[in-house]
Amino acid sequence: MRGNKPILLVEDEKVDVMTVQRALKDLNVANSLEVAGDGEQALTFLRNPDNIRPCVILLDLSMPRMDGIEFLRLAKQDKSLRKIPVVVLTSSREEQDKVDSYDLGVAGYIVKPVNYPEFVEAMKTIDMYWTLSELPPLG
Amino acid sequence: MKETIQKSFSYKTIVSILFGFLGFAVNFWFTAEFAFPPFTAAVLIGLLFPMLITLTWGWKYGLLSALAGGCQSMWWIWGPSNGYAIFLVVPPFTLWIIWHGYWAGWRKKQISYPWWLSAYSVEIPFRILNTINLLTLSRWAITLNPPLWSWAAGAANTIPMPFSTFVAIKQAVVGYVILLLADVLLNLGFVRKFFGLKEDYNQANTSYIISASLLIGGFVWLIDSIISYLVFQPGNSLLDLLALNIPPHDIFMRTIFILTCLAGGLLASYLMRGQHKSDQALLESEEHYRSLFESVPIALLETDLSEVKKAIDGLRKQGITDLRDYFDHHPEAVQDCASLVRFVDTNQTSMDMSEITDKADFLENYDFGSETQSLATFKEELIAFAEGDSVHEIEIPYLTPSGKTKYDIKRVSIPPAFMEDWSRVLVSFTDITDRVQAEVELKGYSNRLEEMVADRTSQLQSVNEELEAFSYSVSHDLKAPLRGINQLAGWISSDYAEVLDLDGQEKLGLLVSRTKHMHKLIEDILKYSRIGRTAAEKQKVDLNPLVRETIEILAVPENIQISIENELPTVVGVYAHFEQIFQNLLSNAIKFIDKQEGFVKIGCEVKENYWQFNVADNGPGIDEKYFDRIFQMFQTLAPSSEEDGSTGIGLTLVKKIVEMHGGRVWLESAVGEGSTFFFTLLKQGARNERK
Repeated sequence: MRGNKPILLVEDEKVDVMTVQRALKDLNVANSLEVAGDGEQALTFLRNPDNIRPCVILLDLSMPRMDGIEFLRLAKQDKSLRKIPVVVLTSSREEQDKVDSYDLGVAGYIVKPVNYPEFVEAMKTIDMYWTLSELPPLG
Repeated sequence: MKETIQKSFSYKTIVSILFGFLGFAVNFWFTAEFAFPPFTAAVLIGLLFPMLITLTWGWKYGLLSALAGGCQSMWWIWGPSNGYAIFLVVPPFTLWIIWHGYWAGWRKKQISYPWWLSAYSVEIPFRILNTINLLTLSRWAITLNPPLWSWAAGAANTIPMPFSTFVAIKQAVVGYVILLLADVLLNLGFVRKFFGLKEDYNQANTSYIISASLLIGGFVWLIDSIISYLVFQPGNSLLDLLALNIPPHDIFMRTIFILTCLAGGLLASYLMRGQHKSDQALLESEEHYRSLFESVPIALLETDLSEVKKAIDGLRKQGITDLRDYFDHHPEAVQDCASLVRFVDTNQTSMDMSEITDKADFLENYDFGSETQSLATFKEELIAFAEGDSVHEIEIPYLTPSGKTKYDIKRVSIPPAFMEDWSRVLVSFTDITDRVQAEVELKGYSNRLEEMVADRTSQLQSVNEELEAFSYSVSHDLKAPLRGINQLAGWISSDYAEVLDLDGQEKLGLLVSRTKHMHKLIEDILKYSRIGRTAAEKQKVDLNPLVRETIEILAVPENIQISIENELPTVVGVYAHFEQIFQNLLSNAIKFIDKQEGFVKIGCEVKENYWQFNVADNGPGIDEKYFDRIFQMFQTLAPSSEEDGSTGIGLTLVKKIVEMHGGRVWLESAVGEGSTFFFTLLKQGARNERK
């Protein structure tokens, strides 16, 4: 992806984290992967000035403590975080989830494919898109 | 008991025979013969007795009386000189009795009969025929004399015409005299009792009048005798003139006079009885209506609004056209009108309802001018009547003097005959308190029921929502670990390829495929639960392109032809739902077709308020015993369902969608002959078909 900024994965399921890690590795993506277990952890990470702002956030929706929608609501209220593109990576096909996500300005909504090769394909597309797409300064 | 005796067969028979003898005796002893030498004409007044019988008990007893008593069988005594004519002169007397008996019997069965069927009138045709007989046939019979029997050897074979005419006239007069006397007698109380007849209305007066007539007749007889003795025939003794030796002329006149008196008395009593009858009827009907008026369970008031009418006409003359407007601005005018109402009558129900004790005081002094509500309805009534209505009806609640709340329907009407001057206006109050109370109670119940239903519904709804949320989250939460298992199994298979032997690889492959199947199951369950949950917008959906697109997506094998048999309608609903229906039905059909040349036909029939769709295939068919089962969740009929990706939810989904649209789904099929799935969709605005 563009630059060497990290990718932030907000995900509580360990295997899903492993899947993303593996897919990125298989795709030879150079960006580092930061993982937050829920919305709160993600916000803490983002608001810590010591951390570099990620170039893209991959967000799961159903998580303990603070779910993805709640995280989005808070993140999009925060001027400094608003510009970071968020791609929802979820197992939900619910219309309501899609509507809420886009209402809160997500850059994409991808339903996690069940088998790994398809998952790799999805990750490849995300990588390609955010390699091609220009980003504003994210601070 | 006396009545029964007088109506018994033996009593009647004995009396009839006795009366016959009596008639015979009277005819024999009391003879008023008219000298017409060499012929005699007798007045057979004894016929009165069989006549009485025939008039009261009918012609059969009359005939018995006439013949058995000898009254008519003594003709041979009287008429040897008639010879053959006897056969034509005497039997008519018997016929006469039968004739009157017949009509008397007929009259008895009638409630009323016209004057031309009275005894006096039916006498006329008989008399005419008899007269003709006397003047023609009888005279001809006499010419055949002398007859064969010896004692009539001296019979004449010619008689002068004047004699025949005289006999005819005499018979007519005697006939009427007998009828009159019979009528007189049958009007007397004791005679009626003797014959077992019911006493007439006012029997005492009738007897009195007839006795008075007889008395007057007798008195004239006496006066005539005295005057004859004193003035005209001083030579004769008074006793001769009175009874023993009355000159024929006098006896004739006096008899005429007495008969006239009796006829007059009879007439008077008939007239009186008629009057009495109508008085009686009037009285009865008056009583009838009065009792109706009093006891009908509706409060009735009879009022007289003629003064009010005059007042309103007065207003009209002043140029007031809009009465309502006028009354609105001059409420005192309504009050003035109210004071002009006169109360004529009221019934018991009304007094009970209004708790009135003194009727006269109420009618005289009641004034509703101070009752606001009464005035308000009175105003409406006046306006309605002024506009030409004859009825005004209104439901009114009111307080009784003892403070109970009651509900009435007040109906005010002017009978058609009084529309001109409103001098009779009928006011009725029907107590509907019970009904109103029942209605209020019923409303209370139904409100409570509604609340209960709403309560239960919301409880059910929340339980349902909870269940749906639960099933959703369970299904959803199952997906993540499943995906994990799938992923991990895949990685083991690839990462440890060298370590695993073929058997291990195959087992991992099976594990992956099972997780995929379970994943599909979960996805389908979610789809199923989503149908009821999402409130997607309804729109008009043209099913023709929808079905074509669905067919394209399905990737139909080359050996299967899918055709749309006729134009499909445009329906209203959620696009995705209809897509789901056709997708599931078509994919099912395609999946199971086992023929070289398969076909699937889609058709639609237009019914009165719904459409009936059918999807027919020439697949293997389904045994009837599975018809219900295939619409249940997770029910698949194919054994290899895990391999071909069947989850057993497709038809359940179709059923849910169709039923949500107020339709139903079913199938017809026979093993080896293919299956046809049917489903209906309500036309827009049509009511639920299943109701």
